Amino acid sequence: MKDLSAADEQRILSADPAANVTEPELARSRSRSLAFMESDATHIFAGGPESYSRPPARRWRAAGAFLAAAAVAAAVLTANFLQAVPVETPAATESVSAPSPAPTSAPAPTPPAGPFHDLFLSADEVLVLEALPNAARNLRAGLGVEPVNVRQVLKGDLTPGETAVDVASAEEGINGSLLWRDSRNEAPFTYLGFFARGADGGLHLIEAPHALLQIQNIRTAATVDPATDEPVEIGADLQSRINVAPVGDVPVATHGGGSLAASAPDRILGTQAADGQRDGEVRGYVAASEACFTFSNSTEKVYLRWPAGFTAKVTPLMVDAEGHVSYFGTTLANRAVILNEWGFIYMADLDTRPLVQGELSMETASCGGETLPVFDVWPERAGGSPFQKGRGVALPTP
Amino acid sequence: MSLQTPLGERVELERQKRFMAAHAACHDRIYRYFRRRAENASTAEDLCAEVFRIAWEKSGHGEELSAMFLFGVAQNVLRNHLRSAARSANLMLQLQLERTGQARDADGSVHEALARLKPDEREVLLLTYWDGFSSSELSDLLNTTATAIRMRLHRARKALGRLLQAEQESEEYQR
Repeated sequence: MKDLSAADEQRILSADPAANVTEPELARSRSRSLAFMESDATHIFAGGPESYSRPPARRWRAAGAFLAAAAVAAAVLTANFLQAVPVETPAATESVSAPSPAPTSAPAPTPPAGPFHDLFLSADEVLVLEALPNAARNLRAGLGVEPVNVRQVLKGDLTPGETAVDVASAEEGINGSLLWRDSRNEAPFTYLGFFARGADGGLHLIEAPHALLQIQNIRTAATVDPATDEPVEIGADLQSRINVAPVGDVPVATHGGGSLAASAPDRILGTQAADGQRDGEVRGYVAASEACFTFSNSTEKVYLRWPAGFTAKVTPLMVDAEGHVSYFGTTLANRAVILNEWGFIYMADLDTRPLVQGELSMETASCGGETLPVFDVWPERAGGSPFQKGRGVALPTP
Repeated sequence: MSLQTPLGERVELERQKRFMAAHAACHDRIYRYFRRRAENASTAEDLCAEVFRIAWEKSGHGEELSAMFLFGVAQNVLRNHLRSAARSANLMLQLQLERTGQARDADGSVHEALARLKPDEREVLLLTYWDGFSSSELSDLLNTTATAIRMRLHRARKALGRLLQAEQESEEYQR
């Protein structure tokens, strides 16, 4: 039986009668398919009761003016919509035929299926961003225009990198800039944000529920409400578009749990030595498809098993003469590191005094040629990182 | 008597926003859908406008204006158009010939082969290749299972492959 060859498929695509549809043809149809909104006659079949007695288009223009004055997409109308919809204004007509930034010349991504379809569609920029520290800021002040590092642009013209965005509208929920970024100086919070570009050209968080979500697990893109920590389902489609997870990492054994519960049993810290220092060392072994880590001190050695979302990789870090990762190191060396669920280094090979905490299981596992008792690591909190804690929010990231 | 309330205004504004969002997202695809199936650009424009008029009406009843919903409306609009315009039993053939005539310069044999497919198989094939729908989307649109869609697409591909191969062999023989 003959099936279609790739060449045949190409012939079908080439034979598409709509392949040569021109932009003016589309623009004409766009305008035509909105024309009924301008007409009182069509208003009748639009089925509006008395509440629709004003011509819809006039109200639409009024809405546009209101939004422009508000300088934010207080609801969900955006500049993109205004550009994309030529409602009889010369400027709008021009924007359709202009090469840039007409939406047709750089089409917006298809909105994701699921609960965030409309919000995505409405936003000018949909960003995955990290809240950066702002030392000059009065910590008691509320949220305002905040420095961020844009990790990924899901929609919009922005390029990844550092910028500033207005997140003041999130203040009520988040309650202050301390929680917006990270008061622990360990790792920046990562957010998914829906922004509208205001009349001032700046990006303003849309005033809508869940316009700002915290990404709790950077690999699965699991999101929570930053005010309540309640999980927020964004849908598989949008989730699959978020791609800021570390590259080149490998799986490690996990125990499926999260951070340490307040009443966690059998909490174990690194052994306290006589001089008050904790005695212990982490070793990491990273292979092509898997990795394992051990922790040992003067009295015991265990196989470390990690919370869900942790992975490992080899990454270059500054090390001192003894090979330990150090601020004051003079040499760059590859080191096996374990990454937490936010993608930040949790521990590194040859880390000393690593403050391992968790509980000993009844199982054993092999690592580095040794069979060892398994110790389940329970971080102090979500996103927590002993490694980052000692080095600050900005240093180093994988 | 008309009573305009802030709530009513807000609801209406939300409705307009939803409608404009759906229009911005789907207009071009729907226009092209008609352009592929209607006799000319002017008719495609008319039919497309009708889809959005209906969509506006439905949005007043709280209907979600998803792409699938709009394409469902588009299907019905096209069907009604063809039905009302059908003065003879071979209208579809006439339309097909008219369309293929327009694109004959490009690859007339493909259009001829497409015209010889069973209508339901041809439609699945065109919705897949020209309109860019996935099997699961088509199962929603055509109200059948994704398995049935895949089977129909498989049969259409085979049949079209056979027809194109036969046409090629015939051309080679004539040389």
